[in-house]
Amino acid sequence: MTAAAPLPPPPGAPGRTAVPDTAAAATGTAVADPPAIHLRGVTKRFGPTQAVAGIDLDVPAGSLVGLIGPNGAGKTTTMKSIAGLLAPDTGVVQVFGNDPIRQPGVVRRLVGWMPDFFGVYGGLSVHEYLDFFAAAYKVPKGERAQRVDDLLELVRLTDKRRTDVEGLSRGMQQRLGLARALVHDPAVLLLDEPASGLDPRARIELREILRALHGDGKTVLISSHILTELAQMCDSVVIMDSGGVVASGRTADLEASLFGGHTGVRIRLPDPTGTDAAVEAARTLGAAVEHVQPGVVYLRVVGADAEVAALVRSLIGAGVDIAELTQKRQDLEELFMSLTNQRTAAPPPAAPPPAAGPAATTPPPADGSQS
Amino acid sequence: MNPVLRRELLRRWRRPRATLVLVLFLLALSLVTWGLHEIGRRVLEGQAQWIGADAAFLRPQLGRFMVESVLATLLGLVLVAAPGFAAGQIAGERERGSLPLLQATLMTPGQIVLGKLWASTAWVGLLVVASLPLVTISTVFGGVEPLDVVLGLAVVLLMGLCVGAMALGISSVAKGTTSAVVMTYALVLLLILGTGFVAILIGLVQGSPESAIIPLYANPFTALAGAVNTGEVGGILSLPSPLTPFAYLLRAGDFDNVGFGVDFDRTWHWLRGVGLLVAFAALAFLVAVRKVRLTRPTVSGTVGREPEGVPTAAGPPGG
Repeated sequence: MTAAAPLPPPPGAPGRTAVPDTAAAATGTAVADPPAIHLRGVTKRFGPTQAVAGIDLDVPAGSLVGLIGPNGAGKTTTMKSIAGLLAPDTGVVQVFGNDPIRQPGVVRRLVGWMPDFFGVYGGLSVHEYLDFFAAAYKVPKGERAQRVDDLLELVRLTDKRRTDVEGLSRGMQQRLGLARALVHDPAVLLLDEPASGLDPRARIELREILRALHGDGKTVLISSHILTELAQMCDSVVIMDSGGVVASGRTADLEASLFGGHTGVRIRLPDPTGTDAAVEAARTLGAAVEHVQPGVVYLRVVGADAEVAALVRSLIGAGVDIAELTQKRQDLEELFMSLTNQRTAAPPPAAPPPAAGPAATTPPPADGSQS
Repeated sequence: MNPVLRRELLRRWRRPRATLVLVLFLLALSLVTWGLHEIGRRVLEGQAQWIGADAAFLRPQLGRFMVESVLATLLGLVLVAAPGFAAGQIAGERERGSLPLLQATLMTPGQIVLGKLWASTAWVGLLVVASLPLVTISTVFGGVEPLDVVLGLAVVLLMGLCVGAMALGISSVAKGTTSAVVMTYALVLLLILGTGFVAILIGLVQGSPESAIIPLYANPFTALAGAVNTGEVGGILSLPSPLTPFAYLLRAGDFDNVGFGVDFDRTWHWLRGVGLLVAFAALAFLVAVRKVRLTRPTVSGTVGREPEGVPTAAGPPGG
């Protein structure tokens, strides 16, 4: 996690962002440079709807962070605020220490934004489309052709360079949109549901491209409804609901911390007659017995892999024969459902800080309204 | 070159539809020119026969009639074409979902709207340039000063620019492309017919020709009539053009000094008419720029400051 250190003066337009010190990040050591994205107390209301209700978020430079939330959670509003397309009602939004509203030119050079839905201009070829946006981002004329060619190669559209953009498939248009967001070589990429509407192959291709960009040191903030995909791809995730951040950090840490560090274990015994002895031994060893069937015992263990291994050793030591052991851990989807349900029903659970990843806190909406 | 202008030129001018529109435009103008020539020639020949004069004596009248009529037709076609091109520009971007992509670039709102205005005007300019041979043919009969033609063409171009700017202004506030197009054509109709109607109404109610003239300054045809020095029907040996009624209305307060080709303080009328329409256009342009500009902070003073008492990132993340 990054510490919320006093913000340094705006550095102007920094060059390429270096990948953060992963060791420092892993140990929770504060990073000296300003975070790529810094939000404090950001609120945004559209009429009666509180779209964003006081978000705090720090995204370290060079990280790949997933933004998860149901419809109306405030993901798009948050991204638009970072891109400078929406002015928050209150709070601070900074990109490498620069305010998107007060320093729009600097921030627009730093940020590449890909919305969830975008239209293309019919009558333009793929190459012309990207060349237009390169010109709009004031990429020098002498560099444009090469830049566009490089991007087309990156998103695997080189063979479509003369095709009318309206003639591209949905997946190709999404890749073109990604190339457009990269046309001015931004340090920060904001991708709002880039995989929506894509078939599995296109999703895999997009994931590979994003990994390559992450490898190049880009800071990527990506929103998606496909939670498992984000879990595979991202360093860490931010879970949003009703305009606020309900949890953030590394996926594994969140799973462990937000469920109280419990791991479900299913033990199948070779001999059903030994069930009672196994239950007794498990209770003695401190495991909670959740369900019992002849020859099968469902336990809940405090801790993760190491604690489960210790339990198995102890059971065997106590004379319990084990034919099969299955560990059941709640995945990101369950985590997401759990968190958003909890937020609907009650205040979100307190959890210890994760080891690394984006840091976020959100005070509850002042008026209790939800988008 | 403005990227938006370049993009619009690329997108629109190389489409088959652009060629088709240009061909139809020139075809319509050619037919009108030919028809005007036939009508004018026959009427004037009849008049010459009636007074026993040589038909060649009346050729200057035919020349002026044709130039004024062709320019009026050209202006009419431009007033039809320009809104169709410009009205959907910003509303279309919004509908397509491409406007935020433009807003996120380093182009300023002024550059975006200006690029679209130049694209619209370039289209009008192409129509005007393409019609030059037909306008020039009409001058061979005489009766028209070269300055009249040059000013007439300039007014047509300027009106195309003005209507384009107004269309962009409407496009920026309209809900969608269709409503933008409908509203823009309604405005054009209001400028052409509504101003004349209001002028007549004021004249009838107040009985004051001077104040009745004022609404006419917002009429593009009035500006054109002033620019080409349209005269009034001077006895039987003249031919009223489509611009004649506007010149007649403009001179409502000066009936004693009228006649074919009489200079009636052209500059004054031309500048008033053009000035008013340019002012409308400038206003519409500013509206469009304002609408394309991104949202400003709604609560001044609280944005951009670190809020007091907000938990920092060092605190628990799930709270």
